[in-house]
Amino acid sequence: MLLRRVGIENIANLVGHGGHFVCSASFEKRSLTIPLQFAADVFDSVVICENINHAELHQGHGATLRDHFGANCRMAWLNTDNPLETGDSLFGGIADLARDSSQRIVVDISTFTHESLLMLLRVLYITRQCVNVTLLYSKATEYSIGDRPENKWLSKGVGEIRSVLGFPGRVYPSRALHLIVLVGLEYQRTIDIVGRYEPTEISLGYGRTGDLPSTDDIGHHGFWKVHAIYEGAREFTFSPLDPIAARRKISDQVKRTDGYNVIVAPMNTKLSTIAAGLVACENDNVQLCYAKALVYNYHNYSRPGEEVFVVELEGEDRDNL
Amino acid sequence: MEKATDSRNPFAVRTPEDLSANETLGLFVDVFTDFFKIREPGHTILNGARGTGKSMMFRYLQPDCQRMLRHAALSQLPYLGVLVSVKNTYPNITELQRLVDSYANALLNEHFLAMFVACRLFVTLAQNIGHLSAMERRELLTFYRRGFLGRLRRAGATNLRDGLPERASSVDILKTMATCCDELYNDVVVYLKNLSFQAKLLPYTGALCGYLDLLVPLVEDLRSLSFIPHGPVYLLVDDGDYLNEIQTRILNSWISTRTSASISIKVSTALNYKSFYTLSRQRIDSPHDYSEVNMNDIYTSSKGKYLGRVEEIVRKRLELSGIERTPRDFFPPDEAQEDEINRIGAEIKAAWKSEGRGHRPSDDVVRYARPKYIAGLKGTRKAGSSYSYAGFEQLVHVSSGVVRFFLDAAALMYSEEVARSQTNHIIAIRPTIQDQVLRQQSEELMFGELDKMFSDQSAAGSFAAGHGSDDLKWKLHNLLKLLGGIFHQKLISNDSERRVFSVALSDEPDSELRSLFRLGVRFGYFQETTIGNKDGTGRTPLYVLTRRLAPYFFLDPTGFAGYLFVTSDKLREGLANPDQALRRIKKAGVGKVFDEGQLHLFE
Repeated sequence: MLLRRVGIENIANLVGHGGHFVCSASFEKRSLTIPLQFAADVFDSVVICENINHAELHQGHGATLRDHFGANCRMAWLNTDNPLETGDSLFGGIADLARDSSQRIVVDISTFTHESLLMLLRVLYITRQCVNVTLLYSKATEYSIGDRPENKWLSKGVGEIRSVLGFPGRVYPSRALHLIVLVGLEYQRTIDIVGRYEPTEISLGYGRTGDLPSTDDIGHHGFWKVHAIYEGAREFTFSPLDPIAARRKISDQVKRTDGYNVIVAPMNTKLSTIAAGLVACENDNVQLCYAKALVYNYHNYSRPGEEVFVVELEGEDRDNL
Repeated sequence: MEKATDSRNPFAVRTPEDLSANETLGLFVDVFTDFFKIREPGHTILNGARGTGKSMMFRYLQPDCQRMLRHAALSQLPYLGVLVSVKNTYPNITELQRLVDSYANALLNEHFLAMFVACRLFVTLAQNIGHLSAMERRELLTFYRRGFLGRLRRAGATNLRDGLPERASSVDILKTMATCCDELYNDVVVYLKNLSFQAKLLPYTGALCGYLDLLVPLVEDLRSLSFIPHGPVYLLVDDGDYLNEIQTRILNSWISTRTSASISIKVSTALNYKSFYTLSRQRIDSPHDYSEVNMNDIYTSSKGKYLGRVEEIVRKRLELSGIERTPRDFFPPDEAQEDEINRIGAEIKAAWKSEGRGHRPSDDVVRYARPKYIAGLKGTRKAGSSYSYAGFEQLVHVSSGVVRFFLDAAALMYSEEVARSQTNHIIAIRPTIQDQVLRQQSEELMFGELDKMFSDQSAAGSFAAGHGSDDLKWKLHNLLKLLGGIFHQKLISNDSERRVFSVALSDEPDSELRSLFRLGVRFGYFQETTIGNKDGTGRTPLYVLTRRLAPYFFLDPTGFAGYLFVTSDKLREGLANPDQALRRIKKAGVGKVFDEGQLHLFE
C-alpha cells in the first residue's frame, strides 16, 4: 500500500488514462471535486453510485456527474435503508469490472457512506484481493462549516446499528466483547454506541494528525465526557489520513484482546474506515458495524478542499500486519 | 475525618455482565418486591427504558451471585440463571436478511439462536460448577457423550468427534460443550458470509437444532444430574429488542410452548420488542403465556420509590469508593436559592387562611413555592433561566425514572469536579457544576445544534419536502417545543395547577400524530402511560414529557405533576409554527386556549 498527497490540480495527470472509475454522488459538493478533474473519456468505464432513498437531497450532483461522463457511465443505485440492496447493486455494478485485475480500478471514496464504502472494499477484496486499486480521497477544508470546534457536528443520534454486509466476523457466543470505536466528531454518538453494546473491553481511537493533540483532531473535543462515563475505556490514537499507519494501530488493538469477540465501529475519516476494512478483510474474526445516524448535517457538512490523498492498494498481505 | 477517596469515578458505567458476584451484591439494590415475578418460575417479559437496571437484575439472578447470597452449593439453588446477552449485531447479523421469505429463515435462525443459548448455558455451568466428585464427573461425562453429542449428531452435526480424555475435568467437559456450540453457531456465520453478495441461496449442509428437539431435552437431562439445580433454568435474554423479527418470533414460539417448568424465559426489552407473534402467527398474551413487568409504570406512578432507590444506589456507590457522604450531602443544592424558596413557602403558609387553594398549607407550599420562585427570576431569555437544578432530589427528578441518566450525569459532574479541584479527594459536587452539566445534557437532548437548524424555517422546509422521516423528526421537534413552552407558561401562571408535564388527547388522534408521539416515546422524549378519559368511559394515553428537558424549558422537575387534556386539532395547529402558537398562549393564558370551547391557537 502506498500513500501520496497531491494538489487537486495534479490529480488527473497522476492518475493518467485507462481502467475503471467508481465515484459517489452525495449531498456534499465534495462529491464533484475529484470526478470533474477527469475528462469524460479518460476511463474505459465509470460507475456512479448514488443513494436512491435520498437522491433529492443531492442537489443535482448525480445529474452533474452523469452529464459530465455521458455515455461512458452507468449508475449503481444504493439505499442506506437497505444494506442488501446496496450490496447487490455494488456487486452487480463493479464485480464484473473488478474480476480482471489487470485493469486498474480507481475509486473516489470521498463521499460514500462508511457502510457502502466498506461493502465496496469487500467486493474489491473478494473479486481481486484489492490488487491494482487506487483510492482517491478529497480532504475537506472544513467540516460542519462555520461552527466552533466544540459545536461541530456531521450527524446526530444513533438509530439502527447493524453489522456491515460482508463483515459479519466470527463471533463466539462464549466470548466477551471488545468494542473498538474510531471516534468521530460527535462524542455523544460514541457514548450511545458503547452503551448499546455494553462491551467488556472498550478501545476508543482518536484521530491525531500531529505528534501532539490538537483541537483540529477529529474526535478530540468531548473526549473527557466519554471517558468520565466509560472510565475503563482504553484510548489509542491513529492517523486519520494515513490508512497504512491506521491499519497497524487498529490491528494492534485487535490483537490486544486475544480470545475476545472483536467489533470495530469506524466513525472517523473515510481513510481510517478503509484501514478498518482492510483489517477485517485480513482477519475474519473481526466484525464491522455501522451506526446509522438519526440526522445528518446536510446543509453544512463540509467545504471541499484542494488536496487529494492517493492510496494505491496492491493486494494487501497479512505479513504487513 | 474523611477516608481517602478512591481515584475511580464512583458513577462511571460498569457493565453488570462484567461485575464480580461480590461487586454485584455490593451494588445491587433489591427491587424484587416490585418485580417479584422475575425471580418466580414462569416466562416474563420485562420492559423498561435503557438504563433502568434490567441487566443488573439479571446479573443478580446468575448462579455465582445466588450461591454467594444464599451460602449454597450450585445444586441447592432453586433455579439456574443463564444470561443470554443479545448484542446489536449478534446473533442478528445483516446477512440473515438474505433468508427472509425463504423456508430457511425460521430453520436457520432457530438453530442459530439455539446454539447461542446452549453455548451460554454451558459457559455458565463451567463458571459455576466447582469441584465435582469422581462419580459426579462420570455423570457429566456420560451426559456429554449420550445427551449432548448424541443429540447434536442426530441433528446433523455428524462431524462432531468425542476428543475428550476419560480423565477430563468437569470444567473441561463443560467448556468442550460450549466450544462445540460456538463452532456450530459459526458454521451458520460462514454459510451466511457466502451470501453477503449473493442473492440466490446456497445449499446449507450443517446441523439444524431447535428448542423442542434439542434445548428442552438437553436441559431436562442436565436437571436430572445430581449436582445441577433441579428447579427450572431461567434463560435471561437481555436486550431482546436486538433480535431480528424472525428471531423474536422464534423466541415467542418457545415462550408459547409452556415449558416453563423446565425452562423459564425472561426477556428484557427497551420498549422496542419487534413482535408478539409466534412462528405460526399466534399472538402470545399476558398473563396467559407470560407475565409482563413494566419498570417505567412503577417508576412513574409510585411516589417516592424511585427517589429512594436512586438514593440507595448512590449511597452504595459512594461507600464502595470510600466517600463517607450521604447522597444529599454529596450533591448539595444551591443554598441561596433554597433559602429563598423556603422564604416564599413561609409567606404562602402565612397567607393560606385567606388566600389558600389546597386542603392544607403544606399542599400550597409544595405546589406554588418553587414555581413562584422560578416565575420571579428575570433572566436574559425568560423567567427561570437562572434557576439552579442542583441538589440530589432535583437531579433524581431530572433523571426521569432512568437510573443510567442519573449516573451518566453524575459521572460527568464528578469528572468536572476533579478537573476543577485538581484533586481526587472529592467530598461534594459544587452546585454550579451540577447545574451546568444538567443544562448541557438537556440542550443536547433537544437535538443541540439541530434545534438551531430546525428553527431556520427554510432548512426545515427542505427537510419537510425532501424526506419523510426527517419531516417527522422536524414535527417531533416542534411538538416538544410546543409542549415545553406550554408547560413553562403554565408554571409561571397564576393557575391552581402549575406543574404540568403531561398531555392526554381528549379525542382520537390521526395516524401522523400517533406516529409522532410513538417516535417521541422511542427516542425517550415521552413516557407513555394511560389515564381515564374525560367521559369516564375508558382510558386514554397520557404522554409524560421527560424531565430531562426541564432545564431546557425552565420547568420545575420536582414531585408529581398534573396533565392537560388537549384536542388533536389544537396540537396540529401548534405543530406548524410552535413559536407563533406559544406567543398566542402567552397572551391568552394556557387555561383559555386549552379549555373546551375556548380560543384556537391562532385566533
